[in-house]
Amino acid sequence: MEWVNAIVQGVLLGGLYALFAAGLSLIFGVMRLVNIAHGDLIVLAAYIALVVVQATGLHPLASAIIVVPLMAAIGYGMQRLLLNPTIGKDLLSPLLVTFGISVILQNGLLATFTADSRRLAAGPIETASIDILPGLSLGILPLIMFAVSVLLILGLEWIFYRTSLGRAFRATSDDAEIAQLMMLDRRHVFGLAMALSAAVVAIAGIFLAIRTNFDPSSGPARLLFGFEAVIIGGLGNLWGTLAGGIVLGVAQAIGAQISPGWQILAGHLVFFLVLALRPKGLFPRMD
Amino acid sequence: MAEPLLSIRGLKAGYGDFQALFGIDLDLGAGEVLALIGANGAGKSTLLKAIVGLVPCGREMVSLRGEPIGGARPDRIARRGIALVPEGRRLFRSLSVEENLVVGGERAKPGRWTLETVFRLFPILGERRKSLGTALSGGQQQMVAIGRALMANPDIILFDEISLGLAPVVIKDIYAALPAIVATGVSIILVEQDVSRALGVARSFVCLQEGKVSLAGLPSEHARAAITAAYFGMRR
Repeated sequence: MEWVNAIVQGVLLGGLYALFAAGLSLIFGVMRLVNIAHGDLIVLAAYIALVVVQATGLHPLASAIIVVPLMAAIGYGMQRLLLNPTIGKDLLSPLLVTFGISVILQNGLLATFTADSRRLAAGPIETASIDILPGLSLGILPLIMFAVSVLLILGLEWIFYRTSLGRAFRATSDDAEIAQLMMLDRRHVFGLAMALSAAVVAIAGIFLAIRTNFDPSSGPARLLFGFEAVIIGGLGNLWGTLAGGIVLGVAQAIGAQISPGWQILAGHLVFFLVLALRPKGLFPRMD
Repeated sequence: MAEPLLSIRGLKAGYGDFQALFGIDLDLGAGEVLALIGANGAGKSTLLKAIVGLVPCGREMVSLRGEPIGGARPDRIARRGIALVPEGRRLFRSLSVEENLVVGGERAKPGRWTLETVFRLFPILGERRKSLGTALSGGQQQMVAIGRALMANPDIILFDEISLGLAPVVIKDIYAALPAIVATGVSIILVEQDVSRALGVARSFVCLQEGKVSLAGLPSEHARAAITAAYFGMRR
């Protein structure tokens, strides 16, 4: 039963990894931008949630009402002011700018909040659980996180394939030059894509802050998990990203079951295995 | 003469250090069909791209209803009522036929062109509305590209190489649709390799040669030999 338990916990953790990855996947899909600062944005959202909770006394989960729109606005501004001027020339310039943003965010957070690790206390919900079978219980909080991840991916899918904004994203992704002739302002479309990504990042940041300790240098590891989930699942496929997150979560959980030192390594090994055997990921986009 | 709808004066444009157009003058009246002819590399596509803002040019070089629009952002020029059917169709590959059409019109002013009227013009697109645009034959893709431009309810449509790479029977279908489009009062600039066909539907023509206007006027004003000479840059 211990193994079943480990796998179930891994699946639930996979939902969080999928959240780390969804924003990354969205940005790469729409503007072919690899956002190196993605992990640091997750940590920034965690710190903003910390400040909001301390200032308002809101429950960490309820802080999303403020953190999500704030992060979306930060994302939009960052895209319009820093990234748009570099997009379209070559892949390297925007990549370097996001690397610079990553360095600035880490050092800015270090200067503001020190290197002490923090955590958001969510109260009794953290320890609440339901017993499924003897020896197998599910934490309420991991369940909520998993459900929210699935709902968010469902929502992103709906936006992408059922709305005018989604059509604008896909048209711009397919042919940014011709999309402009459809009266689409590329700078605004890219700004909205980054805002949406940052809104997802905000949720991921709040969950991260509740689930584990974080400090200003926690970002790159989250970026790595996000990348791995995207690559395992297959680029450009949000459900694949969820599957990738789950595969990564289960691999880590099984690794941890073998030995605590194997947790992260097992995830990386599965990632390499997928990269070697199916370089396009488990569920690549069909086109 | 009434003020032209689109007026181009001394248009110079190019790509970086390479200059492709050297002072083009051109007028397009309301409801007029103008054939833009010339050999490969004469600058026809560059001229269309400069009009829609995809290639930079000076502000005063392009005017719409007397108002300078040269060098404006492509989305702003599109909003003012100029649409392009690009060379090679360039459909959005992840969008269905219907989505390709909808994305062309959903930010535009309402007008006579809707999904229904486009499907009436090209019935095959209605039958294949859920297919990916790129899964269609070349001719059907061209119909989608034309429909996408129509959905914006523009005042001017620029057709770049309307029949390039299409089978003769398909070209006939595409040209058969042109009168219905012209009848709505839209003005057209038609870039076409098949000079006879282009001159057959156009009221006026402009011939480019090495980035300059080598001949312009009404097809009936000039002997075919003169047009051929202007096309190939031959001295007569």
